[in-house]
Amino acid sequence: MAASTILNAEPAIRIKGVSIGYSAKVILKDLTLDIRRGEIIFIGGGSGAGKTTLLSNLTTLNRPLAGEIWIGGIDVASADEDALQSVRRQCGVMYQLGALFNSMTVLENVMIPMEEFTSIPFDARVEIARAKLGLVDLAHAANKMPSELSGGMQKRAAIARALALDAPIIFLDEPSAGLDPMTSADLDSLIQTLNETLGVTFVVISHELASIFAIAHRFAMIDGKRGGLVEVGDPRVMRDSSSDPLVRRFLNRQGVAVHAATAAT
Amino acid sequence: MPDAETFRILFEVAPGGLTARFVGRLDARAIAAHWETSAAQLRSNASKVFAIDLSAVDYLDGSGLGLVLGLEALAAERGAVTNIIGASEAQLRLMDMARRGQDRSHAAAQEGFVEHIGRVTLEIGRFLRGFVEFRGELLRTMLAALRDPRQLRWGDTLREMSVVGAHALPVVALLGFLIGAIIAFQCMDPLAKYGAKLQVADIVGISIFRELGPLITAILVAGRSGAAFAATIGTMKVGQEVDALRTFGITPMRFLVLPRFVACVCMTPLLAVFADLMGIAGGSVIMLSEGFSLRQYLNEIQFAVNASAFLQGLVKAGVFGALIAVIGCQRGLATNKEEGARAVGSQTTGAVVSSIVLIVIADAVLGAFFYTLGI
Repeated sequence: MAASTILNAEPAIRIKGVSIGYSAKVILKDLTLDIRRGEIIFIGGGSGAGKTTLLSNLTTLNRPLAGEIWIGGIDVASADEDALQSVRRQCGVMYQLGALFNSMTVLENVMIPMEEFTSIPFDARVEIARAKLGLVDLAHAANKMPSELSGGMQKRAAIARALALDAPIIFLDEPSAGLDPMTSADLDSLIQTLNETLGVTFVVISHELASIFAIAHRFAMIDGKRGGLVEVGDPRVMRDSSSDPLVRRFLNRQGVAVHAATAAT
Repeated sequence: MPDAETFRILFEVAPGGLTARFVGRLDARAIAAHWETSAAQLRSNASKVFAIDLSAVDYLDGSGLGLVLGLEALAAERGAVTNIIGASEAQLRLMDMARRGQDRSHAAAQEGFVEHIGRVTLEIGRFLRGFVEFRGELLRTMLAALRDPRQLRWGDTLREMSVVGAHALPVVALLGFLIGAIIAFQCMDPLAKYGAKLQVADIVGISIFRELGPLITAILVAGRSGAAFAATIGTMKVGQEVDALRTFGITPMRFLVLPRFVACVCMTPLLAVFADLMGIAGGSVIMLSEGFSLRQYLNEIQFAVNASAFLQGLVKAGVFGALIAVIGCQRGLATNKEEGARAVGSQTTGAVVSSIVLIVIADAVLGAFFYTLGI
């Protein structure tokens, strides 16, 4: 199933004229971006560009100062708590450090959202959680505690937890931060497979060029100093022929071509 | 929601084996409705060949995968072989991914009785060892600081003193005042029967100065500062801040424990004095309302409470302060960083509970000690 067949006109997330920041300090101004259903989009920018702040707005933890963010027919900028709750069920989030619950086994971590939001019987919940751990190749670690896992395994377990409710949109915050290139490449191919087979939309906050060139359908570059969105599009095209020097510099760092080539193979 | 109704499982029993034909949208809702019945159907059928037909499934997600693989596992338990038919290439790929590394042996080894005794004994041994080691190291650090006062971090110590002492004044004042008033109030009636109303002042004085002042103060300090020590140091442990200190060559004992220890040992007696005075003030309210003059009340207290009773209280408070600091800090440092937030919580609870228990035990022991000495 090629990604292009999943893509359709109705965007998964519509960001319209959004300004974000903290009361006095505006970090991103007038950002407009449609995130298409079934795509893998990377959002990147320099340190302090506002990536993580944008994510906290997209995942409904904070509200934007102005503008609209439409997810599943609801504007999360103005929605009440009940509506936000239904948006949250459509989104899975993997945090930078995994944020697994340390006092529960990996399997229990994956079962928690199902326990809270569905009426699935216990045995079936176990089977579903096992299947999801299998998808991220962690079934063998189901009964381990998060502290017994390596960093890469913790991130995979966090992805399995984000998949728990079969959310159509998954946000990943810096999935490859702190991982070695091989583990990072494995994670990329996992994202790609889940995207191709389940049609999940992935919004990835990352400036990892190897991952961007390996799996991103589109790359959105944001920069607080320049206001908001600098450019969005196919990362390869942007690297080679962007009219914006900042974008070209960002995507053309030395040694990038080599990394991208190894990640793609 | 129409989805649950649009999913059906049609079971066909044929001589060749059992076939489950899945029809419609296979997602979490479908499983909630169909898990029990399909598992029961599978269990009640004796045939060794089981087929799952997915050709009429128009949607299958990660949860739906759970149902397929769960039934497959159930069949395998009964020794039956499962054939998946009519699945798309993507679905088969997902299934292969999800089957990886599945290990269903629930070999959660139950701990035997002897094993349990052994483990608990080892744990107690480890705790006692840690207890002795911690005090030994603290003593060594204190001696080093006595030889070279710059070893003590004065800024931190003064800051801790203000948190442990000054910030606790309002609550100590309130409790001391009320305890004094309550004792006076409760003793008034029984003693009035013997015409000894004035001796209520003796009871207030002795009980507050010798016992309740220091005890109430220590319990408050344990709840406020002991808990804070354990939680702060525990969180630092989880965030690897303590490891960072060690790699700089700074011992947590000097950097974290000593300032808190000094602050607690100095401030608990001072707070106890304050609690004593507030207790006396509380008692005076009841005495004045019974028609005694302030002069009479204070004279009576002066007569009943000698300097040694006052000093006993101070010594007790100092000992209590030391206990609180040592237990709070030790508990914090004992936090298991792998267990994270939960470990911080349990160590904090442990710090407060064991501080209070040890304070009361120490109170009894010191009381007996002073009594034997005839002070």
